[in-house]
Amino acid sequence: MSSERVQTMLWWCGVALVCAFAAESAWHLEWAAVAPSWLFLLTALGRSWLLAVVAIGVGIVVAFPLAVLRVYGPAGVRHAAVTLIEAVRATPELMVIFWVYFTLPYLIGTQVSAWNAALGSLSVIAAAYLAEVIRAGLYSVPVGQIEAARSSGLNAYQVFRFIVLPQALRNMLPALIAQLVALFKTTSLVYAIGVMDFFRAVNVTKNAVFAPYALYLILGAGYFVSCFAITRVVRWFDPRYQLLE
Amino acid sequence: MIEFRHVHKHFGALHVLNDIDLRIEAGEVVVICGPSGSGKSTLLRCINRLEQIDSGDIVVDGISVATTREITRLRAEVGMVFQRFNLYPHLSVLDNLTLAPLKVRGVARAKAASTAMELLTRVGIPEKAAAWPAQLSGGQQQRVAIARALAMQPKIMLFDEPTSALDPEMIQEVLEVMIMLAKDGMTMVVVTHEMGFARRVADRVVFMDDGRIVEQGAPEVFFTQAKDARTQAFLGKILSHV
Repeated sequence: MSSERVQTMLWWCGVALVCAFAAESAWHLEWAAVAPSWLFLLTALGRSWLLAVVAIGVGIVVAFPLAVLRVYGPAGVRHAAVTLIEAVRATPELMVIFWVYFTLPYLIGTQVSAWNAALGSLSVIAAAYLAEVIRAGLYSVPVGQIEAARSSGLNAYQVFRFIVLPQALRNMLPALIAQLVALFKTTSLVYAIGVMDFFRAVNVTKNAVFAPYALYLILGAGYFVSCFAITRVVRWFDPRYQLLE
Repeated sequence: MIEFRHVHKHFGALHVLNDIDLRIEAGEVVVICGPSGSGKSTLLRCINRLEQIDSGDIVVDGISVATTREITRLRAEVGMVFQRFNLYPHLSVLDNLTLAPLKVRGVARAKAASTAMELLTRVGIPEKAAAWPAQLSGGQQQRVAIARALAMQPKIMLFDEPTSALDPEMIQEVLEVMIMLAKDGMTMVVVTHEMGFARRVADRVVFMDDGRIVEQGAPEVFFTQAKDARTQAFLGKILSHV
């Protein structure tokens, strides 16, 4: 047997051993203590999803004009867009959440519920970060493409709609996936203002029953599965994948 | 067909077009040559207002380019071919050709497609209609780019160094398409270093240096009896190793 094959076999034996050990350890975790809380935890995960989906939805709707204004807008509008985007991006997400929950009521004179503050702040964060992803996508389209389209007689809107946008969307996809995953993880910060998202729900359960290892495993798995699903869903929209397959 | 009147243009401190006067008649094939940075590409790009001029005027097909409010209408009549092809990578070859006729001219889809197929046949690659630009060689891409410009049935064709980005063995196939066009009577303005093409096809060769038109004339006169020292020096450099 060649030394290379021996090495490969040893490697897989090692992997199998680690997996077996992990599975065995997981089997002995405090599942019985956690079991009664499954619906509570699942609901909380759903709540995290709802936060992420709303924030991403509102975020994209706001980010798109914001990015377009930042790239194509007249000077004044452009500067306003830059200020807005950079103000959010240059401050910690947790601070934005606190501002919306604690400072906004002071400014507008009415209470804001924790849930609404969470939705609002996450949407603002999503809009700012996604605007930059979209802007990068718009800039990624070579000038030659725009010149070719203009020289053929297409007007500014048509150049944007038929040449810039389709290429920009395709080019921004990897960055978009990364940003959406980051946003999903950011939803965990709203636990600081008392929203019962997945992160908080796991912690609450942990304080009620003694099952830290099982719960941390659930916590990790919940976020991992969610973020992985986002990656897959967005990729499914990639025209390049359909093209090559 | 195209007339430059005392055209000036600056890029910052650089005076790229310095008092350009030039008349190009319908059906004429004009080759513009000169050292890099002499302003020849800029001159070409001013014709369809990809670049704005500072002063003077350019009249194309009776329309003042600098002041017209309907620049897209003018651009529809002026086809352009670029050094880097600039095919739309997200569209098939056929869709590259039909996009502008569909959106600008409002041609019916079936008509646009049949015109596109005729043009692809004319440039010798009808079998590539369904291909993606990335699947074509450089020479094929440039021929598609020419067909795309022709799909708008323009009155004028502009070529901005159309063979400079090509491997040597692909230059000929592109030049042949251009020669065919010239023979069909197309008005053409060609920025190129292909002096063989200029000699065979051009009605006139224009030499630029430092933002000015230094010298111009019919190719047989231009290549053998250049008067200006700069023209002689330039021709000496590019013709010496042919």
